[in-house]
Amino acid sequence: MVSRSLQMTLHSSVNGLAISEAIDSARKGSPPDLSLLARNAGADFWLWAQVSINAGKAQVRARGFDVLAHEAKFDTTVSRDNELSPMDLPFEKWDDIVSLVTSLLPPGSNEGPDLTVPQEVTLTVRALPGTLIAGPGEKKTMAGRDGFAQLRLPSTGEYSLRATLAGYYPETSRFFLTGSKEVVLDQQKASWWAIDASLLELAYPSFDVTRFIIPNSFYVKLGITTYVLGLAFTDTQVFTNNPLTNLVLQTGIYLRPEDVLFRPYVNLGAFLRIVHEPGVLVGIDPVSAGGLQLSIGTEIGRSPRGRFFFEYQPMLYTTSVPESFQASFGSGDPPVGWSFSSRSAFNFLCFRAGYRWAL
Amino acid sequence: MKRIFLFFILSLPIVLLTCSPPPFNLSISEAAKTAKQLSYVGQIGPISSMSGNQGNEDVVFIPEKDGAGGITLQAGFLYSQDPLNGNQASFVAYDAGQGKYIYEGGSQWLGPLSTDAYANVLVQSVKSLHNVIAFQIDDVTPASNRFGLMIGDTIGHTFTPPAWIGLTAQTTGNFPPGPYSAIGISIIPTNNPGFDRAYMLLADTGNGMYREARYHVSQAAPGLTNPSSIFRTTELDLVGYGVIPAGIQRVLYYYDSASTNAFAMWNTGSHWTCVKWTESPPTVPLWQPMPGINHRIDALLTTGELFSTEDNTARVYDPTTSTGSLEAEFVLGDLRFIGEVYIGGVPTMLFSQALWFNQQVTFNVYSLPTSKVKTLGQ
Repeated sequence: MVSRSLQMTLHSSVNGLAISEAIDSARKGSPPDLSLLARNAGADFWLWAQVSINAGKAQVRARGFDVLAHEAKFDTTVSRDNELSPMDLPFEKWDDIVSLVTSLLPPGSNEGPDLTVPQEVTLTVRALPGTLIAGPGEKKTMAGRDGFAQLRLPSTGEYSLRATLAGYYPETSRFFLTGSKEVVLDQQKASWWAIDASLLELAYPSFDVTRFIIPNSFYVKLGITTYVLGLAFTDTQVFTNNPLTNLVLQTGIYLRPEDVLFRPYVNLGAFLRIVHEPGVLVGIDPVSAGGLQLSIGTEIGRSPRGRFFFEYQPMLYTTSVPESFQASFGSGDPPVGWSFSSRSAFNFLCFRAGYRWAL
Repeated sequence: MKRIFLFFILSLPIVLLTCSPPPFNLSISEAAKTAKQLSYVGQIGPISSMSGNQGNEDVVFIPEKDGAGGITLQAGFLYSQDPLNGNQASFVAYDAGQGKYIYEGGSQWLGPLSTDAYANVLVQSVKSLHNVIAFQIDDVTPASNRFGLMIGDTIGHTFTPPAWIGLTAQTTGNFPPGPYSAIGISIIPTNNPGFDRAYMLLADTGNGMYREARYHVSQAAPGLTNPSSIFRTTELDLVGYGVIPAGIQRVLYYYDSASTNAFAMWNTGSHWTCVKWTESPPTVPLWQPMPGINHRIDALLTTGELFSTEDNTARVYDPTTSTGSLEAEFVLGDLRFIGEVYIGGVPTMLFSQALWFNQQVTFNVYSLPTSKVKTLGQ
């Protein structure tokens, strides 16, 4: 993609310039090889350009060679002050390079095509039937039963397409069109299952299994958060150990599509507190059997297969013995982020962070 | 990737600031499980710590015994065992004007915490004024054992220090009489609204023989009535008959007036030994070891069963079997057994639970008809 935008810009600016597909020869940059390549292509001049990054600066080296005269016409390097980001390369104009090359070419060979007349191109997309394909601007089309869709685009250039189909991950393709072209989309089936590993309040490990009811959108989730081993952020303790595990059942929905950097979602569910101290107490915690929890979170990342996530997760605990529940925290000051009533306790400052894998 | 990293870095302080300990305490949950099978009597507090060492002291609320054969939560006594401040007793009462419980007078120091397996202090509410009696039983030598009555006053807002009286022959006051020193003491409730009973095992400091005595515990100073009965025909040679080891300075002692059986228990390191005896024929102890009873006994219940709360586990023993047998067992968590009382003529066990939060303590008081205690472990 680095070279293609430069190639196409030169191609449109220099009359008669053909683009070599002989990658190996071009990469080596050996004049005899390039001259042989040019001669085989019926050309009498070759132009070789290479983009490199050196000490954080982009450098473009351009060489011109007259094949008939066996004479190098120019060999020059242009330095940029900044590094070219791979994300920006497809959109680079290369004006300085084009100006340099056209000024160095022999007279009469630098008359480019008439760019004032757009050359309409047709993009044919092969995708799963029913796939909605969105192109530049408001252009949209849907793949028919035969799996084909066509988009008419106003000119050659850099384009991207986004294809969506229920049950499949959205697919975004970016390419450079030099003429009419056919693109085949590689659409991946959306996962029905996902698993989470996370820490509640950065202290207590949680594991969840998600089953999608509607792929990419609506799901139910079953998980556990255990207090058997936790991190204690106190002066005197590093780890905590409590024979308590929360069993959590939630349902949730994603609020944005899969292919965004921050993908928000909302869960609502209930949790059951299980005490497991054999010989002493095994069963539902008599102080608080459980409660309700809400999760407002976002996945972070672009990979559909694995992402970090961060949740704000307020939890409402039910209890018939509020003094006992409060006393569970110890004799000191009330914990931050909690409020208590006669029948419940509310943890309104609770967070969870972790990683989610789509299976 | 930079944005993701930045996001987590910015989120970290928020999460750390809001981290709280897990909302769980096994001991409290254990207590809640058992408390669901008890009757809730009421709640006292929240009130501030008596010792200032909140949360580290083991403290119970002992309700007052009223004059109508019951208890009241309008006033009572806090008995605290604090690693820093030792044994202490305080008097609290509900102040209608302030709408809360307040301390009436100061705390009374009842000596250091025990360093052995025996409790150093036995505290019981006395029928039927704001009085409480404390027996102080020394770890090392019975010569310093003593008792004292403390009197609360909700009008003058005072709580008098105990007027200590020795429980040895070396002291005046005739508790106990003659050459005796008390080495084991227990209090048994009665249905009489005026008094309960204290039973003592008395060691004859002269000849090493033993007597058993019964007292009334009542509001009249000094709190104990002179021996209402020195029972058994005469002294028993418990050591000579092998009932108890020679030279023992301290036992847990209980007497069942219905069966005339006496029980003694002593600790040898980590092990408790229990025996029972009666007198048959006169002057001769008819005794048997009770190896089935191997946890510290805290009360002889009016049902004739022995009750242990060692390790915060309640155990009910039947002492009528050949070796003593465990009838029921259940967890107490942070519930504390505070004695058996008659309420409306029904023998009832009382439990206190101290719940600490926000530098203050709230007490829940629960009750259970003694006849039902065995059902808790089933």
